[in-house]
Amino acid sequence: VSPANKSLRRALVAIGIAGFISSVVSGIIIFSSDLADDPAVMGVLTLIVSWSFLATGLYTWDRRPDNLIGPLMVAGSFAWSLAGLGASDSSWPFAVGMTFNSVPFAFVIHMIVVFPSGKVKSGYERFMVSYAYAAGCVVAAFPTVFLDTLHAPKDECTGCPANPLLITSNEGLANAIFFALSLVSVFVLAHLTVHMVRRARSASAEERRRNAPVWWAGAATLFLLGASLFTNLTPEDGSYDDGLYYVAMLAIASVPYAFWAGLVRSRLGEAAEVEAENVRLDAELQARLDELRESRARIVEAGYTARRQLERDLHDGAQQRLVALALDLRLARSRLPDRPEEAAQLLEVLSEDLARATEELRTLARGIHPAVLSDRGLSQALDALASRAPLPVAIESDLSGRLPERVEAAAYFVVSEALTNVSRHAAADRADVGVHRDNGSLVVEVRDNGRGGADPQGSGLRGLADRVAALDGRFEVRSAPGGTTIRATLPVRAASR
Amino acid sequence: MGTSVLIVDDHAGFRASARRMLEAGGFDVVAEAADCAGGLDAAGALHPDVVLLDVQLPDGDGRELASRIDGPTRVVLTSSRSRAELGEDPEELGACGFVPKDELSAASIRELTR
Repeated sequence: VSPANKSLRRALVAIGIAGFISSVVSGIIIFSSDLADDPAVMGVLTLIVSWSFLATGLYTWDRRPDNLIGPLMVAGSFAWSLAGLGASDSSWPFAVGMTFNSVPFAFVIHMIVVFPSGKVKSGYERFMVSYAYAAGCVVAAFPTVFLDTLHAPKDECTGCPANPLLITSNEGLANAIFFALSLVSVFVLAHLTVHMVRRARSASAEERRRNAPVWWAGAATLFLLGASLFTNLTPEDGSYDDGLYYVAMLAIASVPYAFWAGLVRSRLGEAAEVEAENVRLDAELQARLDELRESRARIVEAGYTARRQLERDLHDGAQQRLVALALDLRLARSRLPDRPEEAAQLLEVLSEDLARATEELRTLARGIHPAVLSDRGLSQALDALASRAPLPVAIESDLSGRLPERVEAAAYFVVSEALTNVSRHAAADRADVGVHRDNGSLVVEVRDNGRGGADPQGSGLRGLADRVAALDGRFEVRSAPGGTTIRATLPVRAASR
Repeated sequence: MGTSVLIVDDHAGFRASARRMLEAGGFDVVAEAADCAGGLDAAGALHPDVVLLDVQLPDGDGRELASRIDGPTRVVLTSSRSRAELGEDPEELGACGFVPKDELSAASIRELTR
């Protein structure tokens, strides 16, 4: 816990204690009031609402210090306690209660409008918040100065204490102001209710899951508040109908719980999302590991295969020739004393055989690793490859200088294997090889104009793909009637590390 | 009339050299075969005195073929690999001996088939 958090915690504890005491005082005043119609109902409602707002507000303030909603809830709780004083039998608390009567609604509306960010985000929202404070804190409080509570008409304020804020008695003006304010507020609340419902319905699934409880509780609160104002526009026999007001209070009390529900749901949602994301990542990682394991096994297997092939090539090729040469050489030597001409003839054949054996060994060695590649670099090695190919090969290259050995070797074998495939299977009459640097990579491309049908899962192309993948490169094969294109993208920087 | 010989080997170059070598040494090379099937046919038809048989053939194992050639025909196994790589004893395979290809001579065949 950081020092800033510590001091915030201390402040929140102090505010919490103050808020609790205020609400209890307010509750006691209401319970013991002769003024309120149903002191018990009013008292319980006031306590429920102010405690709900206080507890939720403190929790939210602690968790999200940057979000205004926490402070707004706490302020709303205090405002409820102050408004409750309106039930007091003593003059000053009574006057304070009357003045604060509508202030809690201003906080509630502000909170509902700016949920969940705590910030006003449009002119419409700014208007609504401004209207709530102007109406709840100023316009609704203003008529207090015109109400002579001691001389009010019968039933309207029976037993009210004197109004210390009274300036001049003008019951008609006060009522007119209340009427106008209520009328305008009914329309404003109706509009805001519709706005909230629309916003809730147009929200994304994710937003809805997180915010829906607050939006619906908010919309219900706004609607009931408006309805309660509407039914009281024309009080029957001068007495207000409190039933709808109580329901509205219950709706308001639900707002903090809706807020909690939203928090819990969003946390559960996040946990589920994190879980799903983890499962997906695990599966991806597993697939990648499997692929790596398989390609590693294939590379090892390809190594064995290459060595078996090499042994067979040596055995069937150079070794057989040399064995035959040894026999013929011995024969020639045995003929030398008696039939020197025959021996000379034999030696003639022998030297031709020897030249063939040498050439075979040269080819074999080049297949293992082309000397020109390590001596002169990729460009020259590709030129040599093209000149030996049994079909015309055009090379287009923008290479200058040497590349890391592994990259050169991979590029060389891609071209070599591709050209071998072209000459064996493609029935093409030409091939084009492109080699160029692109953004830290070497791109090697071999195209032919053959019949297509190359199988990327075949052992040759698979082996190339593994070779390229071992360098973190990308290997693509496009094959269709009209030609095959093989393209390898080999990272150069990674390979030089 | 010299001792008749059948050469069974898939390398034409070796067959030619072996023929020259054995004929120069007084043997009568009556036929050549490139694989097991051809070797078995020729041995059955010609009943040569000696079969010079390569261990590794494209359609099978010369060691296995050796046990299937019966009668008075003597089989000499040969290979470009060494004696150690042959594994089993040539006698157990129905052959009378083994000669590495590069040591082949009329004298060595005569020695083994005596």
